[in-house]
Amino acid sequence: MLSFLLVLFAFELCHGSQRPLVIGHRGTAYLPELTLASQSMAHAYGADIIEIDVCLSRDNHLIVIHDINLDGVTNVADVFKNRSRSDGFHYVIDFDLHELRSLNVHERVRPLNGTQVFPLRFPSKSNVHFHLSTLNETIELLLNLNRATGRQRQLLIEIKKPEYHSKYNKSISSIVVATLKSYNLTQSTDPIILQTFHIEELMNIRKNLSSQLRLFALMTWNYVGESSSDYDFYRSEQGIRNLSKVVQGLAPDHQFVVNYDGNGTIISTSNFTKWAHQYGLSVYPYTFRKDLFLGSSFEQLVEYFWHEAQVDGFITDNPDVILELLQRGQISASSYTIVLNIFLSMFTFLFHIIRI
Amino acid sequence: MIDISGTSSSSMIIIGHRGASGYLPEHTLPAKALAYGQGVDYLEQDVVLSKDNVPIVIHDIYLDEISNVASKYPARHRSDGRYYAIDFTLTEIKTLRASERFDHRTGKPIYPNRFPLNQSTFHLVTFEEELEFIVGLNKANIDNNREVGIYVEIKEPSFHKNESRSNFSEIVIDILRKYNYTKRTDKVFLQCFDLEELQRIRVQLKSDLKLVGLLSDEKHRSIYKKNDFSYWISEIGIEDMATFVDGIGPHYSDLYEQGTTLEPSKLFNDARKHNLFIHPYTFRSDANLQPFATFDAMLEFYIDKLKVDGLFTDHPDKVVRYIESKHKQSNTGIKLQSSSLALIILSIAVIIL
Repeated sequence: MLSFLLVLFAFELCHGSQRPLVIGHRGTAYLPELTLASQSMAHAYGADIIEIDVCLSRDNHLIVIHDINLDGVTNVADVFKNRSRSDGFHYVIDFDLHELRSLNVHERVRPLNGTQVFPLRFPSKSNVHFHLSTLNETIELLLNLNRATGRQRQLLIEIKKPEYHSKYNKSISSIVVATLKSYNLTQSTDPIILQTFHIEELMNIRKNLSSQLRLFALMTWNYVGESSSDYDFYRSEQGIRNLSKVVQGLAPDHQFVVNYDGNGTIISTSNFTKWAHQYGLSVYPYTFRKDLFLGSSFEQLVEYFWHEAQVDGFITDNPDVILELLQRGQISASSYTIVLNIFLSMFTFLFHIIRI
Repeated sequence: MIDISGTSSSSMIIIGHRGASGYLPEHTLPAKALAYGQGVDYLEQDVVLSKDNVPIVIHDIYLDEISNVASKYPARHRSDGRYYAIDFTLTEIKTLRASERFDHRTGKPIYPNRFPLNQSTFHLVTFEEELEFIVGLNKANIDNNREVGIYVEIKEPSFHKNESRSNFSEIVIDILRKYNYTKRTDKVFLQCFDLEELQRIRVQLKSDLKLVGLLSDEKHRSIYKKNDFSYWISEIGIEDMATFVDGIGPHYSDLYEQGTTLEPSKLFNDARKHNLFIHPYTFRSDANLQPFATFDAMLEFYIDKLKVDGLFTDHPDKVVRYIESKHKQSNTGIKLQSSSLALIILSIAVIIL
């Protein structure tokens, strides 16, 4: 009886102190994505991990940008009028670093008509001069912010479209791994995680580049055409088992983790997380954006993924909101824990007295 | 005010001094973003004019302690060897790399444990850019019930007047008006060390903005030769000041009498007597904290004992954490007491039965 109580005591202590990881997607929702200001804000809000994307410039610099073209987030069309391709877009890989540095970055717009993709966010027509940064600048920001604040946040680097970059005879992954190495970031214990949608590229990074850094596998629907990988296979039990030999975590489209009905209501949890956990993998679905939800439905969504689906973390544009939700739940859990612990200790003490 | 769910333990405002300058290069957008994320109520801007009369957010009238101006434009210093912001156009200032503050003679950082020199890339911004930055952030945060205010200092009006820019304050006020910051009910403060300039702003320019009279500490008084500080900090001076400012921004050491027990100073009492709010500067956890033993002890004195109305800090997260821990203590204490008492009674009842 006593040992049972002690085990219960210990279990309560451990459970009360765990919470899902919060990953600040491109920094936060409140500033133009991926800018150093947006990353700084995510750091301030306490995001455990800050997520960024990298693409290559013509002169092989790693540019922190989500798209392979510049038209969604910069004024490239105004600055370089004759440098678009036949589809009307301006591609990062067609520009050198010094040219990219001359651009102004803004909140995301639809290139065809200039309308803001997320209308409630930072105004895209604002006159504030944000800039594109390099992976080096981002690493320097993070490591030194960690040191100055005493808070250790991690960097999750998505390598964009490795197959596309290969067509230009560029191995983007090699350049990423080499850049990280120059900052002494090579181990699984370093605050760096790499991820990409191209599953075979993850295997290349692990086996051919011999990297020991932690890896996450991004997953989406095959029809999107993100890469040549077969996600129908990789999200099956066997696929997950395969992945578990190479990666440490999975970053799936949230629709793989739960089943939605036609109205967007969650009906049930899929087997995805169960299989992932079975094979020792963590699950971090994307992307939790508060401005796509009305009222308290965002909170309900987060609660479901946390308590029912039991994911290991959230990739979110609103790390502050999710952290606040988790902490509010946590606070009632921890005072409950304190009270329970007092009760248990009293009970064991009294039990002892009675037995003696 | 920090919105701690429930009652807040103080209605004090936290002003991000040059942003969260304890962690990132002062007056850069990442420093302001960090401060916003850490929970400040106001972001502070110092403004100085460029050659083409654009207000730039920079603390000094010089560029050479927070940027690479000396290496980028080596010949453009004055005869005293310094590089003045007013000698450079906005376009030129925008080509500079902003950095953590360093001594221009030695090249060494002033605060060695802050963000290192020569890491990552930062820029200087205009006052108007920073206003758009804050306005944009507030718009993006409407759902979060978050509105951060403007706290702008007009730097060295006399210097600017000598450079034939006697309308510096007008330029700043016009920009504020463009963004709808005009009234005392707006979330904005206008501060200056030059009390006569503040009087001009109130009386001649008829501004309705909240004005803050900055008072320099002993060490820096010699810089402001024109202002007679012994007048302004006297009882009569405070009474005079109270006719055109709404509050004072003193150095924190001027708020207590020197001695073994820290009693409020005459300045503190005079300000209170004339209903002036008090926003002392600057609370830095990595500076000399004497006579306080720790940063928290310092905060306790100003926040809980003197109950100042606001404070300027380089480390907003530490101030927020201090206030939250005080609030949590009072909450948890109550919860623990009542529930453990109930359980003790219950357990005793169980034993007896």
